[in-house]
Amino acid sequence: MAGNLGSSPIQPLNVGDVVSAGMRLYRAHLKDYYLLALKAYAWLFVPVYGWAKFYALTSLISRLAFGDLVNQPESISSGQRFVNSRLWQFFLTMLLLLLITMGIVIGVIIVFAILGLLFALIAGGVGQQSNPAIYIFFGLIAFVLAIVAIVAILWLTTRFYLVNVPLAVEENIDGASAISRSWELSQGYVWRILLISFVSFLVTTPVQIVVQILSQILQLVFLPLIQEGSGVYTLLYFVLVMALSFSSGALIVPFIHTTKAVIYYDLRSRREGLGLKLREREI
Amino acid sequence: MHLFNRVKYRTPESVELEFILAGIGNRAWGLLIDYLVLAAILTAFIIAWVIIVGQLSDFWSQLFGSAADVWLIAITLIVGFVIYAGYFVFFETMWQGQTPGKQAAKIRVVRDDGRPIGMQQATLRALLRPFDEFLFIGAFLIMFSRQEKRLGDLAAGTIVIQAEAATTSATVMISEQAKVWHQELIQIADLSRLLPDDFAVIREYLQRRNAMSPKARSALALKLSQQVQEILSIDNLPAAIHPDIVLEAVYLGYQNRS
Repeated sequence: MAGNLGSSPIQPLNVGDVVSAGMRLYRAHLKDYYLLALKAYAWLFVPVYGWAKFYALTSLISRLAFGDLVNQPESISSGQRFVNSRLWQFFLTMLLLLLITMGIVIGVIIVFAILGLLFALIAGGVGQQSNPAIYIFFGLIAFVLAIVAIVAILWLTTRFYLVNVPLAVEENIDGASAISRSWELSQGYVWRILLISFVSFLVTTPVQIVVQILSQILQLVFLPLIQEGSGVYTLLYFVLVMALSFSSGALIVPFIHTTKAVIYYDLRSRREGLGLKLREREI
Repeated sequence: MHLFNRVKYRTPESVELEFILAGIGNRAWGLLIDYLVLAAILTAFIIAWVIIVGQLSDFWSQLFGSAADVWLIAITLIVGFVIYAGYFVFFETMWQGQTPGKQAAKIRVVRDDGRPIGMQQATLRALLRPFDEFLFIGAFLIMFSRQEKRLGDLAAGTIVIQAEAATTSATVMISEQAKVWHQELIQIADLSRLLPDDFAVIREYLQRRNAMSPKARSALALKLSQQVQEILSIDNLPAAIHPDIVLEAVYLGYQNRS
């Protein structure tokens, strides 16, 4: 019943196992990762430098989790040193990803603009007959194209999903090559990664529902107080909402990143045979 | 680190059984598929029911008088709940602890001691399901308890384990060259120096190599063949032999050694 698993499983994992592994890794270091995530969120207040720090610290969680997976665990301080030494690369990667995102958005807008233009031309051309069928036809085409656009965007996002893990884990890598590494690793496995993300999202639903309930309670309590006009209550409400969203975000973010590390490990084991070696040698 | 939660059980005959627990990911995935199937069944039921109710409206007013609407809604709700719980009870009892979703996720419900579950356990699990799923108590319990038991599991004394993985028979493509060469290999090298674990690693590589990226695959093949040569103390292999051939020959030779 145990299958073929030794102390370091070398077989590829299925979707559910990846999510369960991400959860186990997170539970093993719950406090450490949560504090790291809180620190990362705190850095968000500092523009530019703080954002790079946020990216670096959340990637640190992936690095620590990956170390656990390959039985080479690392202390937080040593991991932090490594990640901070690459802070500039993380910033560069963020910029490149932002550029790519803008490029994709512009592309989608152009496609829809062309479609809109075509529609206007054709509808104007046969406008005299004002045939409703034409409108329905174009409505359908727009709908189908919208679905295609959403799927394409999801697909592209997934190809770039793993950028921060190689940057935090591998040697001889920089911002640009991390992006191509993510592209390379995710080839052929896009739908698996999307499925894993979806199941992870399902697993975090309980926490998100609790957060929603709490924020509704906050709203109910504070709205009448704010309407009385006192500025203090608005500020207090704002602070409490921030605290709630930060603390709940810091709870979920490490899980996302440990799962990312497991996805990375699984992809490397499938595509590159990570962990396949004869007679384990101590490094 | 151990990626999987394991449960050991000692039978009265002092045989130790080990199960791997399913894990929250597999259970969430299985539940999702089950809900999809259940939604399809419930939709079909509601459509059929609405049609029937429409056809027999006179009959209902005769039977229930003025409160016919309320009665019909009540009947719908009760039947809906029976379908919801009955789906799980039916499948878990008939299929030895699996529902369609659990089959897709390759997990199975068994009793604490590994025995297959009966109707009592399946019913208890199904009846406590509304609490587990709609208040998410079950999700928290699975994530944080030692044996991943939700309320239904705690009440019924069951665990959810990973079902036996079908052992893939060796679908390894062996090239002609290796088939020819492995006889010679048995003569030159002492293949019993290879441990079963080493053989398993080589077989893993041979089974999975087609899914690997070409660059990584050739690097890995080279590394493994060098390690194999070290273990078997073969120093004088002609360099023209492709590492894949070496590994295939070792694979065949190990199986056929006298």
